[in-house]
Amino acid sequence: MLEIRELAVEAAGRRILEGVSLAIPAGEIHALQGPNGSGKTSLALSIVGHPDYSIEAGDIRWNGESILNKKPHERARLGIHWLPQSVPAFEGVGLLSMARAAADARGAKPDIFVLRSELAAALKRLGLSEDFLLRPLHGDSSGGEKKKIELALSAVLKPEFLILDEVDAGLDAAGIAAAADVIAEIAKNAAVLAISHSNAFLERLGVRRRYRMEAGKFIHEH
Amino acid sequence: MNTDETRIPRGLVRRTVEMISGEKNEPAWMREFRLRAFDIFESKAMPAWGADLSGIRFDDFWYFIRSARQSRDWSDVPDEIHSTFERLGIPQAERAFLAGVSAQYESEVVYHRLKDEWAAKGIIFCDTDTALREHPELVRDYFGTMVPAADNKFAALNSAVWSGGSFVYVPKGVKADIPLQAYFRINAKNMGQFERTLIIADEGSEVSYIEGCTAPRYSEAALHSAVVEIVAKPHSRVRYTTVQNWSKNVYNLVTKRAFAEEDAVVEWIDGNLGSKATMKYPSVFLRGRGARADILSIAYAGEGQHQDAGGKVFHLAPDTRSRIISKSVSAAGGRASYRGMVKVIAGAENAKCKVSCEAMMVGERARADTYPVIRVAEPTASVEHEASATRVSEEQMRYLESRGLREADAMGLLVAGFLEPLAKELPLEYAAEFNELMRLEMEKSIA
Repeated sequence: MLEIRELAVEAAGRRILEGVSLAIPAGEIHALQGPNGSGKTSLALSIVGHPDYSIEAGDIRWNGESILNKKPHERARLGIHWLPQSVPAFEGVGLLSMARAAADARGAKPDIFVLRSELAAALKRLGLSEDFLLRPLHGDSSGGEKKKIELALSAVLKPEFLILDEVDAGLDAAGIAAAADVIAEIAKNAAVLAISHSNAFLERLGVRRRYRMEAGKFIHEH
Repeated sequence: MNTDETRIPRGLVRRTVEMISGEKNEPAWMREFRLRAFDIFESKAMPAWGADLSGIRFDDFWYFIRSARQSRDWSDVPDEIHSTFERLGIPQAERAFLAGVSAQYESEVVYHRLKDEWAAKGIIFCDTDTALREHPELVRDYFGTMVPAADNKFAALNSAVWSGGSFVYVPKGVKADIPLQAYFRINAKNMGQFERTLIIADEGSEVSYIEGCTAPRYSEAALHSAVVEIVAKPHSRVRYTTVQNWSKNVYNLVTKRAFAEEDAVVEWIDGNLGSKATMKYPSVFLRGRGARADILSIAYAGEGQHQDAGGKVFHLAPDTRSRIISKSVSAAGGRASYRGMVKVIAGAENAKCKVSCEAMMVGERARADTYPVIRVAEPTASVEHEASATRVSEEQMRYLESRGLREADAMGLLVAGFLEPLAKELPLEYAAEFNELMRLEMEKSIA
């Protein structure tokens, strides 16, 4: 269960989030919508602990305990996983190495052959070939491929809380359908917060709650 | 210290060289060669460029030690080396060897089995002292031909006091299908400070030679000055892979040169991870039409280290091709320099050369520089040179932290990734150790 209580956040000396509260239990997908610049990504970055976002009031709690004093890598090790809008490219580091490093960090120490076949299966479900396992991560992949690769990584890392920041952007209809299936699978055991402009995508995900954000505040939820 | 060893008194005078040659019962020509080299060494000044070598005191070193048994024990090996072995999970037997505590290692059995296979094909693979006794004509024909004693001060030093090193001869048309690993050979005898390696690949033959290891290797001796000579006869193919990770008290000053005859291919893969200062520029003389050279130089310079490395190619014949790729990482105030030379003589028509050097810097104090020299006297030749410098991006670090990696682990992954062209060329057991090693280095550099 992820809980946010009356959260107020500042970045670069400016108040960007005010009085934000939500609670997402495992097994549910909640949606976050709103115009560009309204604070959706800022909320995601505050949850993962980006150092440029300073928490001025309120709390972020994971399974009943505040995570405000935890560093980003410690939050990740609790099972909090973030799929950002844009991802950096890595030279010489393939998806398989990244998955292994991330799994090792969480103490999972998976068998490399098992990890490889799970990743290959996840890529296949998303319509990507196994070639992406060893290629430099996000090196010369298209926008849509990057989203799928990240989703495949999420699928094998089995996060307990997943933030999706416009994962559907850049995907075609078939890609969206496949992505929704993979996310639904992850959400069986995880809490999910999906940021998206697409109502169709959110409907397909079967979201339980929607929050609408404007100028750093939730103005509507249902 | 045990008594089963021969040591020629510390310091370097003419008499030292005579004693070394006498101790080995060498033929007169080698003794003359050594003495001429000693005179050259005496007459040459220290290089005024490259790494700072002012800490070298030639009179403080032992130039010849023959030990029948192990010469040190564990208590002499620094704690840092102990803990690195621990962290890398290196087996006890191997640790003892790497630390110089044991001269023996179980791979000797493997070596003997392989030796029979090689012998059946006519391949000679032994240490250079043995080769001088058992194959004197072959050694005499080529020794000092690619790297004459007068090449530089340290080539002269090696020529005067050399001991050990590998000798390889591959007969005409023979392909050595498994790489010859110095690892096996060296384990049979302790590794020397002034190794002399000579590889002769006869016409149409193929051979790959691997030396060194990714695990840190402790050496008491602070000066290592080797010479490697390769002759690749027409249509032959030679690949020479080195990974050095000497302890951080060592000056590693090595001269490596290959002659590539018509249509021959020479590849140098050179990874420099350890030492206090390294100066090493594997070179290829492309002497025959259509000869090719490929040089991959990889360097990691951490705190207090200067890696001055690169490559040199000399296009001396038409249709010759070469490629030099240099990748370096400097971290925690370490310095990595690329030093390269490309020369195309008039008449080397249609020679083609590509040089690419990339430097990655970690932290504010890291330093990287390039010293390329390009001289082209042939109008139909094409020479390309690209250089770039990168730093780890904030965005990459954020991403990796959000995947649960601590700063050191994230850096280690990025650095190992950047240096992947080396890991990819290494046998699997080296590559796994290499990645773990980079993580440990990053941990040290951040602390």
